[in-house]
Amino acid sequence: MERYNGTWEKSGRSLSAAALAGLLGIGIIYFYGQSFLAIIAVFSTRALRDPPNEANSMLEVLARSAEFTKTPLRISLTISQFLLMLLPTLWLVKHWHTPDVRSYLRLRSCPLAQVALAFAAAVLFFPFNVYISGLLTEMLNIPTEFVTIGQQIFTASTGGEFIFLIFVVAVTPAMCEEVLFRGYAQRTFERVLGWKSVLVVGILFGLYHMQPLGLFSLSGLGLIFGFLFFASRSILPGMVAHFTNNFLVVLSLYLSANGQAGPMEAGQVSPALVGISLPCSGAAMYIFYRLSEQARLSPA
Amino acid sequence: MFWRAGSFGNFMLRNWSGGDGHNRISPEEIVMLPIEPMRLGDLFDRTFRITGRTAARSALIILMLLVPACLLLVAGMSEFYATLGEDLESIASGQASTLEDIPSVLLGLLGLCLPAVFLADLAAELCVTTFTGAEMTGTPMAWQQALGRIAGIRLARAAGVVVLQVLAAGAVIVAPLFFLSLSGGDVGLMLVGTVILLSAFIALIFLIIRWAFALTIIACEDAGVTDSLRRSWSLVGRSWWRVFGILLLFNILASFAISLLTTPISLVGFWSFYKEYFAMLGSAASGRPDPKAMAELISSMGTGVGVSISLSMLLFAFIRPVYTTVLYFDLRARNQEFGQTTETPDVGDKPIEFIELT
Repeated sequence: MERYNGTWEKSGRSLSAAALAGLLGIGIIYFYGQSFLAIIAVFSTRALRDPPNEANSMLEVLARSAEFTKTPLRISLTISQFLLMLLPTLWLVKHWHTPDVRSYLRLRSCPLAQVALAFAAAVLFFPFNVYISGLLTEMLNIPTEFVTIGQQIFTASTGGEFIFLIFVVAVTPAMCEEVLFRGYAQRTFERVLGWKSVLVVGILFGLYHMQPLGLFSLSGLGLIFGFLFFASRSILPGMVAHFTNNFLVVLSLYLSANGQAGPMEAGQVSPALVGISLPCSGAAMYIFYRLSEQARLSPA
Repeated sequence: MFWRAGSFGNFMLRNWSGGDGHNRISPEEIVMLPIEPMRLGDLFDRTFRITGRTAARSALIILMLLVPACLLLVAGMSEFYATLGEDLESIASGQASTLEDIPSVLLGLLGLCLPAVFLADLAAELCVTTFTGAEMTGTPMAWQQALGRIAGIRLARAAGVVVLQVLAAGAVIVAPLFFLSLSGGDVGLMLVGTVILLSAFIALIFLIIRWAFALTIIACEDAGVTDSLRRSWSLVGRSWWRVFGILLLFNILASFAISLLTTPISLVGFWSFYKEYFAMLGSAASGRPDPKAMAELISSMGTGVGVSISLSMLLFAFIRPVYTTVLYFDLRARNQEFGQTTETPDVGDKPIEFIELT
């Protein structure tokens, strides 16, 4: 059994307040810290090599600027995820709740079938994400050139860069964000709200990305990751699903950049495909839920 | 001075029973809640709990008082930006040479919308402060009671306090700016002026913190304009750095939480702006820039700006008075105004005790 003897637990304060304080506090540290690190990284790069200065159009200026800043931004993103998100979360659990951090965060293994189903749920949800994103881009008439420039930070042009991006975009958030959102926030809310914690943290996950156009798809993903965490009492399936989704983004952008048709291209995702894949994703989660009954019967 | 009443019970009867004999409650009816010096976590926890408990009442008050004023603001902003866009378009097409319609729209915005928003925001904040104070002392209050309490003299006093604070802040900043304007390009004088200006900003921050609880004191203690400022000054006293740090932290936390909530909602308000913006970028990128695009872009901004300001204001009115009032009670407890014999700084390691009604 876990010993809840951290300072927050002993004081008898509200657990929901702890979850909210943790999310807001770490959010502030992360966002401000990341901005600070990004500025340092970009200026360091400017000091080491000359920035692009010849361009014929505004579009070219933006494209060159995105190309020039992408590496320092990727590095600052990775550092801040580990240092400013993961570490403070671990500290918070240890000091506010329990010294048994692994148990609190549900860092435990799970059956291979659950991992496979989490992977399937994420893959089958992916077309919906792409479709929604494409729909909003179309509704706002966002020029394709600007979409491409915006995606440059996640786009690899070589095999080496692709491997590096998998670590930056898929592995790092799957670990750090899952520990904060599911391991800490949802786990703490769950002790008060039960299954409703999946909804609360799922929506907060969408809001936290501060991407208004991505709110629906990110909240949807947050709900899936939260459901997997809640149903299996393990953080691993959520991490697998998170990794899968982000990996698919990197892969499709990589394929598109290299002239191959990637699944990320909005035009290729038809409503019919979404209509088939979305219920299939739901079915994968239902099977996951049934398979995880034993895990839910065991102590938290 | 009535706020120096030695016992918490006296304070309760004086301040939460109306002070004038209405709705007087007996000490037996008062459910005591712990009012002790609090640690940072306790302040957050208490703010969270009270926000939850008063959410429905606060929402109702904000809906009644602030939302109509905010709708007026959105309409005013839309009108202002639309007129600005039209004037710019007329100038671009050579039909006009000045922003001729702007002064009248600006006058309407400044003369009607902003005073309405200011008063509504003040009234809403006073009501939420009243709820929070009532919750802190264990005597929950209905929204009608709170509204009845702040309507009239307390609202007028709060407006007076804000006007005095703005005048004082203006004086602190304007004096060095005036000095700087007299420097006439002299480097030495400009340097001295800049140092004085920086000092003035520090003095301004000092004053803001010292007077941070003036509105809370008007709502909770029914103090007058100058009394509330004086009382807030003495309450902060030697805890200036602590109050500064906590208010700064809570403001950052609240701003962050509000920005998380308002970012997606603002998208709706800015929808037409974004469409114009991307259309303009598209036309610029294709090498066929539309000369009217900038005017249309400005015209489409009004709703978004109004909605963003309104949302932030609504949500701040919901949260800010709560943490300010909780901190106000914490300061009172630290000043031993509730009859504590000892300060208990390490609340985190022992259960919270209920203080006795003396």
